[in-house]
Amino acid sequence: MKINFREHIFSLILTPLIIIICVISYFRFMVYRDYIVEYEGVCDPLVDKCFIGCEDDACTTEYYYTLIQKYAHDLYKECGNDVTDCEEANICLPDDRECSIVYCDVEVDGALCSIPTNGLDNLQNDINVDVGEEDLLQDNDIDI
Amino acid sequence: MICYLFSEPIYFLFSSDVPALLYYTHIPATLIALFVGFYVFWNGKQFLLNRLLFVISIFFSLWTLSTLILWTNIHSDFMMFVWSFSGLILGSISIFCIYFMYVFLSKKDVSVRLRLFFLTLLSPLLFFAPTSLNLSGFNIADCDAFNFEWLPFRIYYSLLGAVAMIWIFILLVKWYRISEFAFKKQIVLMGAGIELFLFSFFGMEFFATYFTKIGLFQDSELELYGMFGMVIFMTYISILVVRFKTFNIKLLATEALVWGLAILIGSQFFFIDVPLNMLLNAITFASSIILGYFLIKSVKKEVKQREELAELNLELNDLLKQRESLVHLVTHKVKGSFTRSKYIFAGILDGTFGDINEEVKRRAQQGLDSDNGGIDTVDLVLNADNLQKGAVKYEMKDFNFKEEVERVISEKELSVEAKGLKLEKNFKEDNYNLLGDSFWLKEVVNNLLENSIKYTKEGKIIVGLNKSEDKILFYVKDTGIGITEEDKKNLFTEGGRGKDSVRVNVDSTGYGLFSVKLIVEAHKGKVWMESNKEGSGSTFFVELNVA
Repeated sequence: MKINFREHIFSLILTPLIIIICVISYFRFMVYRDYIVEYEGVCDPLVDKCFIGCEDDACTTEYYYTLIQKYAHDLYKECGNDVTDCEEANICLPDDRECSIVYCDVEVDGALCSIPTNGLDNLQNDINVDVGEEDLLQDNDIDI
Repeated sequence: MICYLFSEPIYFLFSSDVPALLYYTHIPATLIALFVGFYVFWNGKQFLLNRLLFVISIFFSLWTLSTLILWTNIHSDFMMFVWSFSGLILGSISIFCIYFMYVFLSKKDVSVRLRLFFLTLLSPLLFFAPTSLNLSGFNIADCDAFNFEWLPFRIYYSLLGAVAMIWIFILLVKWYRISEFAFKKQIVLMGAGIELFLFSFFGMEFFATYFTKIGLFQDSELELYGMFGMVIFMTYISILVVRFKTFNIKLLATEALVWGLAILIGSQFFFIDVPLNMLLNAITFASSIILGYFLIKSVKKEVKQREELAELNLELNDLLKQRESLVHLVTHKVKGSFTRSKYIFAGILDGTFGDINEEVKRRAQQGLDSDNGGIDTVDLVLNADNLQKGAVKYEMKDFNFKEEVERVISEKELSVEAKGLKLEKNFKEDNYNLLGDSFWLKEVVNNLLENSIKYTKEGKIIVGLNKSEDKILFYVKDTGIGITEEDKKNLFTEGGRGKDSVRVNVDSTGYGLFSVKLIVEAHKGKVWMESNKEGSGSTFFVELNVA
């Protein structure tokens, strides 16, 4: 049976393209995991400037976190499907292709940030030794 | 990677972490779209318009399925895979809606150039869909990828929705101006349906995402309301199918209604939690299916009978036309034969063929009388037929009705005397001028008086005239055989002859009183008959308007 290309130009071009896109997408996301994953990493408010999150709507219980971005392929190798209780998920490893840990920035995030206790001690010390305040507020982003 | 803050869905699509509205908006809309799309496609696969509607319903269903997956699932790999098609699906809906409207309005396929242009519009969505220019990452804490969508890509496919709305609107206005009235109604219905669908679908989707992105809303719940647009669109499509047979489908309104209700009730199974409600819904669903089945069956039977009747009516009309031409042919032939023999008998009587003896003269006179009677009968039938068809043109003039009555009486005096009857006039002094056709009203008087003479064996005939303000009442009262209650029903009907009338007058055609009725009614008058109170006989009344 002869198919008139001009008559069916729309479906003859569109259908194979959609199939190709499905295959590419499948391999990119499902097989190679070629994308960035963002999640909340463990953060110690005593040491770092953490984001403050609420456990419930009334915000009766708070928790502290950092924002971590990792390449999904690497993260999967390090932790499997679940990042909770995975030590490697909270740090950037030398083999990670893309990894960043974002700490809270008071200038940007304001009240969402916790000020570390030792930071307050340092602040007191800084005042005493006349150290610039900008050191306390600097961005703590770590990029590898 | 799984979204660790959310729980795994049950049966792939059911999760307690999503708004209940999600299922209520998505499932009925999808089922209705799929049902209508598939029904239209199945009943007219060969029509491009049907195929395009099916494609739109498939893309819409893919969209609802993908949003259901994105709302309920927690596996980032799979969600990224599904999310990557969002733009392509939305863009395809826009382009196919434009394509669909072109075919609906012009009733033919678009040019190859335009189809290539459609592909060109879709190409950025096709080529960038699996790349980082569409999606680059996923937030497993929030379980979405809003912050990793490339803004120009997102704007592009949202813009395609707006372009589709404007493009279709321009097409609608253009075609509405040049189309015939009947098609204009279809344009309005289809236009309203598709524009409402595009507006609610793309508008809600755009605003939901935009407001979520700028932090005004916590999630994009607003987009759920956009799904109602498809239900509206499919309702308009159903109206077009039922009323205008669009898509070349014969569908009864009852069928559409029953199936629509069944889908709505059936889709409730997906979002009912309480077992008792589930049971009640199951009973309602089963009842609506069973009752709907019988309802459709009986309506179909009725429709079939109606169609058969309509067909029979058409056949009957054809037969009537054939009969009419046959009657005309026969009557003209018969009248021609009567006329020819009439002139022969007349020639014999006036000596054209030489001297004849008394016996031949008597026989020739009988032949002439018989021919005259035959010609009168044929004329009666022909006149009745012409009057019934409306082929007679009345010349309405002011004339004295009483004079015409007097003229008929004088013409009938001989035959009245010959039967030994007495003819009395009962005319009240007044002006009997009226507006009408004197020739045909004389025929009325002639007919009624002729009937009275024929059906009265002995006694008298009274012809009367009365006037009251703007009405003239003419009547003929006789002491004839009268009319039975059964025969009264057939009076004034076409070919209506009473049993007694046939016995008394074998030449009765049944067209005399029928003609009288047609002529009187054409003069906006009334004709009726009453049996005499004082004994045998009857009275025929004719009431005419003066002006």
